Amino acid sequence: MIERMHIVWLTGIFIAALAAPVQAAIDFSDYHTPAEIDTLMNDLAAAHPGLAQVSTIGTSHDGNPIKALKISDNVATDEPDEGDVLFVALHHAREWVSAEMGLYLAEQILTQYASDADLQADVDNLEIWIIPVVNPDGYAYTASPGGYRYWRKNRRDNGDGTFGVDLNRNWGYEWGLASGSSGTTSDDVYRGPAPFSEPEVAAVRTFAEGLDNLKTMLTYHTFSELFLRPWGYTTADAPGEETLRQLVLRSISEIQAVHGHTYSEVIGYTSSGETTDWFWGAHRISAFTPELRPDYAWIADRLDDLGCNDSPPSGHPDCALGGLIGFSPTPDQILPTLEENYPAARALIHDAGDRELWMKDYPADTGDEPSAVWTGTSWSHAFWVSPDITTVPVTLDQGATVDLNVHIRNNSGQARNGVRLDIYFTDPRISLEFPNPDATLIASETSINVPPGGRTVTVPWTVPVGTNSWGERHWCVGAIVMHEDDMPLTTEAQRSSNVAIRNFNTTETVVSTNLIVAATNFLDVDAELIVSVDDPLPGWQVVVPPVPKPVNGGRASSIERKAQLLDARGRLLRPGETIYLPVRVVPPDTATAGDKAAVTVHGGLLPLVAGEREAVGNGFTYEVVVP
Amino acid sequence: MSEQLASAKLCAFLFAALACMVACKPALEGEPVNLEPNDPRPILSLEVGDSDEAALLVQELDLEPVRMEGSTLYFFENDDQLNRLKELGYELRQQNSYEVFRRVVRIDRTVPEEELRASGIRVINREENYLVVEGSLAKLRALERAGSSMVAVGGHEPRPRQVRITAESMDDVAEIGAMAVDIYSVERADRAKPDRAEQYRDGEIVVLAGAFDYQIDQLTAAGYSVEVFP
Repeated sequence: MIERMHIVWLTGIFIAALAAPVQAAIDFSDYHTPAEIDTLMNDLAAAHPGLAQVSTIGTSHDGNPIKALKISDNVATDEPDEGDVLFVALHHAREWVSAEMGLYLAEQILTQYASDADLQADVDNLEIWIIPVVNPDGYAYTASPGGYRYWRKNRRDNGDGTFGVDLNRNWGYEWGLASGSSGTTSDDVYRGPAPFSEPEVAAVRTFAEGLDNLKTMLTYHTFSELFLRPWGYTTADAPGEETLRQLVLRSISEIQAVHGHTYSEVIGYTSSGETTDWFWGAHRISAFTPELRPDYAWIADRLDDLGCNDSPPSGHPDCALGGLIGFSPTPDQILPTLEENYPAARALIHDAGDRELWMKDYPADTGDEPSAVWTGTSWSHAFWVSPDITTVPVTLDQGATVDLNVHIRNNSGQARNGVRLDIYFTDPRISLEFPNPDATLIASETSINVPPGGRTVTVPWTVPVGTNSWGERHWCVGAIVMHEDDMPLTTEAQRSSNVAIRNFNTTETVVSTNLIVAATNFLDVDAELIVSVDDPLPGWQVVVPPVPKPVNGGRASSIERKAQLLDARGRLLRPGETIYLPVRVVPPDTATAGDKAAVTVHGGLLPLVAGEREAVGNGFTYEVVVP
Repeated sequence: MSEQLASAKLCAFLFAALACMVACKPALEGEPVNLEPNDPRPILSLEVGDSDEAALLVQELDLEPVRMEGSTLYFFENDDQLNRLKELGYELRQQNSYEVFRRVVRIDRTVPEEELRASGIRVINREENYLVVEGSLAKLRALERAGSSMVAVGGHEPRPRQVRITAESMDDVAEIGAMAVDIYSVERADRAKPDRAEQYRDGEIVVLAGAFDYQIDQLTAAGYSVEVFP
């Protein structure tokens, strides 16, 4: 009987152990010191040796290490074909909850890996990087007895009696604008003496640029309960606004579902030289700034609780903190903040690791991202010929209404409901992305059910009458597929399997042997354009004219000096500038009227900026007919 | 009697004057300010089109920047770079280190703020017995020669006041942000808790921020209501 009781008891324990949720090992009931965060990162790596690894990505002004925790299967091996996701925190020293967020993310991913098959698949398909403390010097200063708990900047000695640069105003994209940062060293938003002047920022930049395939990044801040997207430096919409906004809205919804806190998407003022602008502006990597708890109401309640608004006021010392009190929410706020922000981060990880809903960029595309890379002179694949975007009839007459078919592939093994598909057309231009402000919406279908394997969505498209903006009957159709479990993380077709493009000629395409190639600089920075052409059929020749140099009216202009500094040889384009290049096709002598050849033109736009210069752009494939 | 009275009055005046000297101008305590350039190397400047160009100069030519002000990049002269910079078409200007390097110091209140501002000194904060100001070495040396007493900020680096600013629109918030005020939180009245909404006027926006006195002056001059947390 006793033995039987033991068996039942032990079985009960075993079952209870199986049923129990995975227990978090880290105690988030209070803030951790900088030393504790270091130790806990090492402990996590030691407890998950096959999955987690700590490395140092750089050092701070004072020589403190900036550490990153990598999470992936085969963690000790660099797997270039896997996507990367980056989380950073504590740019600002006083924003302690953000560092806790980094730790919490790491712990959740590592402890749930074994029991959560979806997470396991994502982690196995990705390299996840978490940098909980970008600003170790500032953090140490806020936590040291002789320091100041509400310090924001790093601890650069400015040499004038003041210390510190605002690390979230030191990034190089649109750095130095008078609006949203300061050139005054004592100001809390001091931008530093030059872009990327701070070793902490330079270290994260170099690290991020060294990643093989970075797909998205989050930079945690406090406070105000916001989920922000680029741009920071201007109130204008960023390119790809709709894509970014959908990601923000989903994130806000994920956060709200946990404890009911509704984060806002608007901050109302500008901040130049900030992190997410650089990631999106320089690299079209989606980047977001969650501003964690508390909100204003909590601060007002807290000041009430402390008697600050009593008559007479209580005189509690914290009353003088005013809004600063939001940077030190009571410890009971830590865990709920982390809990509510985890699902939004998890969803972005899933987007990055997922290949469930997708479209081919070229016939042999297997869904890998990127589907094409810039080789220095051309794209590795013509990714503007998606076989998943077709028309019936194939031949397009201007003004005719045709069936435009977009085939959405579904590798998930189960039906996906509520899929959204946006389809646009526009003039085909090198450095085109979808969505973009110049594109015309053909259709937006929001409740598509896609069975396992896939589904073709058909919408009517009235082929434009007349010519595009440079006189050709040549159009580009772009399709973006979105689902709450599978969102595009960029606007560039070659880097997202959720985005596909195809260029079309209408029947009245002039069958001359002269083509016009257009290129627009959609970036907000100066760039050089490189154009190349694939060899057509034997005997055919294609002549790309020498790249015209801008007229030099005496002293070199800024864009010319940048080009010289970088030894850039391409055509220089200022932001928003469009050029048209006439390309001449010479058929062989033996060609007769009606002979055809495909001519594929590649275009890459390389920004004239410091750091890694990543090409954006695409190309066109013309069918040339001998007149 | 009148002589005695006159003598007594003189004594009283001298006593009052002495008392005033002690009370009105207490000696500032702190480390003396070093008003020599931070670095003996000569400084040049050049004009750039934007910050990307500045970053490229640093990256490609190893230019060592001192700071960038508007479109002017100040940097330490390095013979190895001069020819290349000239080839690129830059007009290089020799700079006076005493004008380029700046200090933030505590200074007595002998010179009226208006005069300080007029001479290019920025008054960052006003404290009871002194001002925290920022200026070039040249301007601070001139002040010192004129008799102003100044000490290094040392461990008393100026900190922003904690303020609650009332705005009427998001355009106002953008303007406040453009003053380089460190904004922590922007709250619309209609997002406040219901039991707190009555504290606001319709459409009113509360901005919690850190602002130095010079920024508070700007905010007030622009018509904003600024409440400093006591």
